Amino acid sequence: MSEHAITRRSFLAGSAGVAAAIAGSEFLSFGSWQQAYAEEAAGPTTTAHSLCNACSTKCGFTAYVVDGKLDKIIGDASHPYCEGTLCARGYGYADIAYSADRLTDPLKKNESGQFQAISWEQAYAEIGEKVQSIIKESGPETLAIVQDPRPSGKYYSQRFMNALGSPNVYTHGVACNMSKNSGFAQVIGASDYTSDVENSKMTMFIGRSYADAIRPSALHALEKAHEAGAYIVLVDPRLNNSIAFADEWVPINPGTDLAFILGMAHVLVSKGLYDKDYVAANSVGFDEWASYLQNCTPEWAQEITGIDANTIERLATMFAEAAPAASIEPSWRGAFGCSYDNSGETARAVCAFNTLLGCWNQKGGALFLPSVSASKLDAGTFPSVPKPEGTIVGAKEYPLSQSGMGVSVFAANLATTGMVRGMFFYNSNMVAGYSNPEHLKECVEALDLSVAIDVQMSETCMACQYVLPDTSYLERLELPEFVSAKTPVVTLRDKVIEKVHPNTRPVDQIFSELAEACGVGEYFTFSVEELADAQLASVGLSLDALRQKGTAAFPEKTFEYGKTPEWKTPTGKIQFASDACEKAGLPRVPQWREPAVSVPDDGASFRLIGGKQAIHSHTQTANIEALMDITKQYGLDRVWMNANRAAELGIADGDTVLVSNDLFSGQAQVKVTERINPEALYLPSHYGCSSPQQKTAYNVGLRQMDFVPYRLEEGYGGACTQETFVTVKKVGA
Amino acid sequence: MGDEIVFSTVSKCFAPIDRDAWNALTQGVAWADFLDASRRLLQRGAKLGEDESPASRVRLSCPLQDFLSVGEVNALFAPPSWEDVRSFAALHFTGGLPASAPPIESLYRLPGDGAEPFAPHGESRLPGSYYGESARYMRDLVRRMGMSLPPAFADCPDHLSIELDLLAVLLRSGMTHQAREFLSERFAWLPAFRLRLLGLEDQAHVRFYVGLVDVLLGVWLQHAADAASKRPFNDV
Repeated sequence: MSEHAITRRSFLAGSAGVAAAIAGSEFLSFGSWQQAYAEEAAGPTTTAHSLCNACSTKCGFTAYVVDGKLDKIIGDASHPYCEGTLCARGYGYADIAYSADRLTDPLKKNESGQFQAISWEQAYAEIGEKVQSIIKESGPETLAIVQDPRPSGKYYSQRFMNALGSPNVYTHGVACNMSKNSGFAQVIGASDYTSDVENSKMTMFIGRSYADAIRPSALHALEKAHEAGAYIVLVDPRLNNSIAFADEWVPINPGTDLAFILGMAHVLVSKGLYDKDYVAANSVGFDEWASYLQNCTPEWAQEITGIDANTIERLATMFAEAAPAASIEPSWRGAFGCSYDNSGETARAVCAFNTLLGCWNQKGGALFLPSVSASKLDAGTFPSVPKPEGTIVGAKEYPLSQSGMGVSVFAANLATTGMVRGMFFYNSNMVAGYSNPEHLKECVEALDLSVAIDVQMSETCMACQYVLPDTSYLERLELPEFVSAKTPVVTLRDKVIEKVHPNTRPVDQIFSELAEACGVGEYFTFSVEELADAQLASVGLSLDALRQKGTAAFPEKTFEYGKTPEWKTPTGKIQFASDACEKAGLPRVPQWREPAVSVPDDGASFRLIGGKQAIHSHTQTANIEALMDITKQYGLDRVWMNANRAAELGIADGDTVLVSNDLFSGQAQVKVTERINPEALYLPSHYGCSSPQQKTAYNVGLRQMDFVPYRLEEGYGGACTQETFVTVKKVGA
Repeated sequence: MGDEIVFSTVSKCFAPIDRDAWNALTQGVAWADFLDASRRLLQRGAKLGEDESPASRVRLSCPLQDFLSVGEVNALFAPPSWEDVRSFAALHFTGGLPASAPPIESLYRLPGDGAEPFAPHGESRLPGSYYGESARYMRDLVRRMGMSLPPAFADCPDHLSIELDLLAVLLRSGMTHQAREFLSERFAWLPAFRLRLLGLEDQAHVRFYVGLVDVLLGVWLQHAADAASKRPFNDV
């Protein structure tokens, strides 16, 4: 019997000499360690300020780390979005750092379609070579990136793509709020505003639910408004959970919000209940719209919306009485962020209606809140990237789409033609969430180069050739996040814990190294710490100072009621009429436009609508076990069906039903309820994960997008996520 | 003595080692010594860390086939090439893949569970998460004993390779009692890991790794039986 040197080498000490090293040292059994660990309060506690990543809100919190492991997070009272309160998603999503499904190494798909771990060096070398080859053969404009904006990700992804010479930088907006933002911009020259809910006398929500897509401060404001006696109206095919703080539910037919607004506007204009002085002083094109509105009577709107004409008239009159402390809330994705072929036009109508109330920047009205941003930095340390030639792919075809968001799925669709050859995805699950997954998967697989950067294996990662493992948001410092608020602030996502997996890398490092591999490393010669500090120095702060506080306010920039905004439209006025819309083939003024898809009146068909639940953000949080446990406990993956329709179809609460259309078919349990419009079938937007690597989320529930065809909204480019219908029948009947 | 060769060898089989080290481990006398030591430790009555008595040397020993399946024995007698091992690890010892089966204790224990590991009966989902209690224990223990973790294992101090390596070090250092205690406490998660391996499609190489795990389980069970036999009023 012998023992050879190779077997004596120890990982723990690197040599056979370890035996001598530990002689006499104290071994501690697991049981003794557990006892000691409990008695010593589990080691030292450190704290750091960070920003949640469970949704786009990015609430600030203080993280408490015990003995190197995240122990708890508590919302920062100074952060304007959370005001000291985090939501369930925020608490649950922190588990991602330690998830058993984390990506731990760079991956490359092999010939049999399986992913295998490769080294970072190999990944960079192969990706870099392919990028340079594509640029040489087809030009940089055939490269694109899609990212769901996060503090560092939005900076580095844009800089990377622009450094390569491509303008094609996209967000998830096409399947979120782009149509809304683009429509707003046509009327008010700004892509968004904030309703002053807590000070309002009346606020109407169209398709948005603060209690289901939670931003804690928004929910606080709604609660205050309700307690102060404001009249809160929910216009939604589904009675959402905000009803706890609301006075009235308007169960509108899905896709008809535009007609509803036009009907209310008709009342204000025809009865002279609008703010004539405000309209005259601040707008153009009113007469054109007023002329069109003549036929948009409440009775006309009733036929389309299913809402009684008296209700429409009553609500319009109440608005006039409450003005200017009243507004239609801007919504987000909801009913007109991207849902229908009339979403952008609905957004225009919302802004036009608010203008009739004269509520812009009025207490209780609709506000344009101030923000602060970093100034231009020293070009020696942070060299400017030349502006790419040309415009973002999709801008020509969808001229009203916001260039800051872009029509990402259109760019992906061009992969099948070879006009787009390489795509990168950062923190973006385009394949599962932006349009029809099967189609988008085919698009990504048609690319010559596809690279996803993420923390877990999304459906988009699955379709790509390379997957690069990101650190989780808890494991890295990111660039400062400037937040618009009544008193604007800057916030920081600082590193909370050390990297859980040594072979993962933070987003700033990945893009800097990718740039080096692609031959444009000269634009990434600084660290994220240096850049963060320089950005903060430009607004009179420092990284060290912000690390201490997490959130820093700019009180000198505090919002003041009553100031007329600067309208950043081509005319410098609020535009009831838009030349750009006319040029894009749409009416000059907001007019009724049918959804592209009509639901057959056959007794068996429903329009499929989506919507958030308070414990999930799209598909991103479905793999969090604690959150999915809530889903399962309460049956949150059920589809909602109107009780009368269910009775007609012989379907009872809790039945398993088959939901089908020509694209997909799948089974789900049904919730039979009075809380939904008879035309609509509600399918929560978070389920149906088809990535087996996400072992908690996989195969739970149905995925809304599987039933949605690839379609883009005229002019705006929205993904038309509710332009589809399905039939439902009881399984086994 | 020489039991430690079993643990130090299996430790290296689950670790990312280079080609030369793999070849030195599996193509020379060292591998034969490992198989011989495994067979010896699996015999009824064998005691971890004790010299063989003259009497036991003359006693007939059972072959490995009595403890392992034919497929496992064949796989252990013909270890895979370094390329095959590297490929297997890239598919199965890498996180976030459908066929991930990382040999890390935390992943096979339910959160907050210090005792019983959870065997995922037919489920693809691993029950635990990274850096659980076992990881923190191993990190502290390694530190306490004056050693340090290599960077590749910084995220998983409770990786099977580290646990086995520490066991080998304890034996090599003459800390037999502590080694037995460590063996007894630490390896209850191996049945769950074994089940996970058996669920993989790559059966040719799975047999090799399951064979290694079965050697460890055999030793662990033998040790547990030995410890039980010493309990007073065991059968009452």
